[in-house]
Amino acid sequence: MNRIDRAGMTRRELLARSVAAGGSLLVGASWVTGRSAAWALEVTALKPGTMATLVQMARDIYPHDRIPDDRYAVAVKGYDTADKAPAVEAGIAALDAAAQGQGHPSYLGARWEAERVAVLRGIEKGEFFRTIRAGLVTDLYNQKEIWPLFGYEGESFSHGGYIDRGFNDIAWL
Amino acid sequence: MAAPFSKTDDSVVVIIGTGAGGGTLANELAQKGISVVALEAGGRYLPEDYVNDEWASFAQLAWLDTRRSDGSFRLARDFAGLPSWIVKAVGGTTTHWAGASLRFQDHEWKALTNYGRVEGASLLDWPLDAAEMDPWYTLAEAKMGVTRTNGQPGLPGNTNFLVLEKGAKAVGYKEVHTGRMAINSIEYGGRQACQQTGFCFQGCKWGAKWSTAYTEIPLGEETGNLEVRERCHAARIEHDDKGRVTGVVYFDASGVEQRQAARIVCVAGNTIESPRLLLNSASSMFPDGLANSSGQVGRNYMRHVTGSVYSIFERPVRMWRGTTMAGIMQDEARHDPSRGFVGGYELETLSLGLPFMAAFLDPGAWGREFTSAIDGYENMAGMWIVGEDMPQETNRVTVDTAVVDQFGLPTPVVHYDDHPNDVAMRDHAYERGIAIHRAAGAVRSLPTPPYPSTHNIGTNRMSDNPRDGVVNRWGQTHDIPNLFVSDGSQFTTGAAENPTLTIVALAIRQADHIAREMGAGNL
Amino acid sequence: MKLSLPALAFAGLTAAAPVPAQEAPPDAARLEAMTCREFLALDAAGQATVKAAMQAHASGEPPPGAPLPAPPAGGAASARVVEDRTGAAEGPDTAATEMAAAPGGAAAPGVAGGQNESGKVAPGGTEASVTDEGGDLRLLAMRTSCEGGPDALALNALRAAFGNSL
Repeated sequence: MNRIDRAGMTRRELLARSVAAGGSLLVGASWVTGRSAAWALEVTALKPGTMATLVQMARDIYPHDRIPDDRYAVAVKGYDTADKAPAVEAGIAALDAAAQGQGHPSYLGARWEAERVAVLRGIEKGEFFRTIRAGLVTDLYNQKEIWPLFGYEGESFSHGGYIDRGFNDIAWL
Repeated sequence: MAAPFSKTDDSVVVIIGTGAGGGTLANELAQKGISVVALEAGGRYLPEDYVNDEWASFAQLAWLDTRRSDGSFRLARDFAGLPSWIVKAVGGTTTHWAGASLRFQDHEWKALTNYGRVEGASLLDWPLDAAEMDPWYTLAEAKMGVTRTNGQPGLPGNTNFLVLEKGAKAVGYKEVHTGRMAINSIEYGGRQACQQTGFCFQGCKWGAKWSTAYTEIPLGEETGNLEVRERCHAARIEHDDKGRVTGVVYFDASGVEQRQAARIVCVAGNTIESPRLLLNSASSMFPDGLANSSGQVGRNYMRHVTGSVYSIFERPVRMWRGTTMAGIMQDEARHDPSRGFVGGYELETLSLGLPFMAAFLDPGAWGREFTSAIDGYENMAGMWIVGEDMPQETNRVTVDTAVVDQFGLPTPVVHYDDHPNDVAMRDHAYERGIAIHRAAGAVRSLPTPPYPSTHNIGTNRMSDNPRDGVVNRWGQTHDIPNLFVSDGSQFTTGAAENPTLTIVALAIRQADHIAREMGAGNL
Repeated sequence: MKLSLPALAFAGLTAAAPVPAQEAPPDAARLEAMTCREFLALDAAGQATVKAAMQAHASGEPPPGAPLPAPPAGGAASARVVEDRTGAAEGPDTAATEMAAAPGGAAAPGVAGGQNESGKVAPGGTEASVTDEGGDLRLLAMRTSCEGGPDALALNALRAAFGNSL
């Protein structure tokens, strides 16, 4: 037995340690824990209308027609806290004002996506938009619930990788 | 077992950092019977600890201490606070690296001679050459189990590779294969073979990829000659009135300041932290920082010409399945100025998971153009450009005394401007990469800007001339004989190849030199 | 997991072989010494035959019975085949390759291995298709392991193609 064997890097030893470490075979803390759908009822710090506008804004920033609203809601739910609410209320108020400046009753009142996107283009250099977008790009796409919509399979270690499961299967090529 | 050395024991070699350079050097010295204390800023993670989830792994492993970048390169806009994507952990960035292990091409050791003077660039010849490095490369390849060397078979190619291979051959390229990888294609060194799991960047949960975390470090510890102190952040290197270094001051896991005495100090903290440490060690005798009489410490920061091409095909590719860096196309790695630039580049397959793809495909982009590309994720193939960037004296790491880190230490600032040669090379590589994917049937290509740098090289460059370099041919600083640099910061020029293999080869060679000089009483 | 090759898969080969299979057992020493260079020099059917024999050899199982192909320089490969379904210019051996290959490709659970549309001609129509392995994903893996590494042992490339599954 060589020394690396004693360092415990063989297949058997790694497996044994993984199990002992508490089942990290199934890895990855799902750090977005929000439940779906009920988000509107759970708003505590933000006005419901503000959250509704924020969800629409999120969808307009990263529009995927196959992703339901609740996933966008989960992605922005973190703003529904006492310390963050004032800045978000102010940001959404400014968004509505910008929409009114383009002849709409409010941001939500602009019925076409292109109309709302035109409003967003007007504020995209501002801190509010940049903060929302930067947070969204992780908080939306890191939700494992949406990965199947993109075909993405996530971790494969718990299935033994793809050596037996099509790592080179591209028959159409 | 790890050997606990006394903090006042001034017979030990202190190595700062345990990655490709420091981790290798630590083991090599320990194997020769030399006492080593390795200070590692990060914690210890082994395969069972790695998390195959991109953001969770990033939070676990990435070096996220305060840094700032500026300059005209796009990264300064996209990720101003994250100029590099490296690891803070025992094993350093060998935890994260993709495993590509290519030797420099012969001509790249003598860039100035072979390319001629390039305006605005500080090209220089290495004081080494291919013949001198050959035996050290051979040792490094054997240590790391590099495929297609020493009889190791290549890794089998995944879908992403097959797309690259088909397209590259269709446009007339010849040198296409699954690379020279420090990932076991068959069991080797007591470690098992690659299971095509993906997530190479998040730490290999099979231990199939070579990382000092579970090869060099435990092997060195087993000799009794190596003590690794985890979560110990080096603050400054001290010296005596003869100008020789005497010890390293660091903050331990509890944030308490400690001092380890040293016979020799080897700096291997990666290319941003290493010059930062030398600069932060300024004293009345060395007011510009240690080993900086040339003024070269921190200068000539290089990061390779990079960029990616992702393309969407009519049908699924599922590029995330299997080895992240699954293959290479080398025909453009040559030096051929008729292309409009000096030096060359490699094209290597790459994939990102959906979360990182969204973050890195076109940072800051939003709206339907962006999301329609993400909608094509399952049908994407990807490749990464790795080319030689021009060293420039003004591309440099400095320290900002007005912004301090959690220990009160001045933080690093990375300035980088693309050289026109870099821009020309990147444009050429984008065009060729797109042509390759098109030839394999791509319907839409996405030339993707550089990610935060994993290839950080050159800020303590090697030169025989003490006026234009920080270290000599052994990585020994010109100014202080018992102070060495042992990481990629000693690179004179960057070549077109992923740097790890060369860092490891230089570390093996440096260990041999240090042991010999210690034995001769010169150190 | 040990994979064995049904004799059926080799029906086309043995029928065309000059001598009965049982009188020409695979040469274990030759399998162990064969380099990737030699392996890649074989035609598609020859590679499939060698792969099957190596797979049995590495699994400690009886040889599948097909005679090993002769090296290209030493004469025509012994495997002969009926029909070219690919349209690619690599020779008439693909159908046999597909037959020989099916068990390996189909063995992976939950994956559509082995259901290859090998009839598709690549855009431009000249370059070899990656489907020359006829849908045998293990053979494809072995080929890509060998390419660019001619001095490695073909048997080790086979091991690389199987990971922990051999």
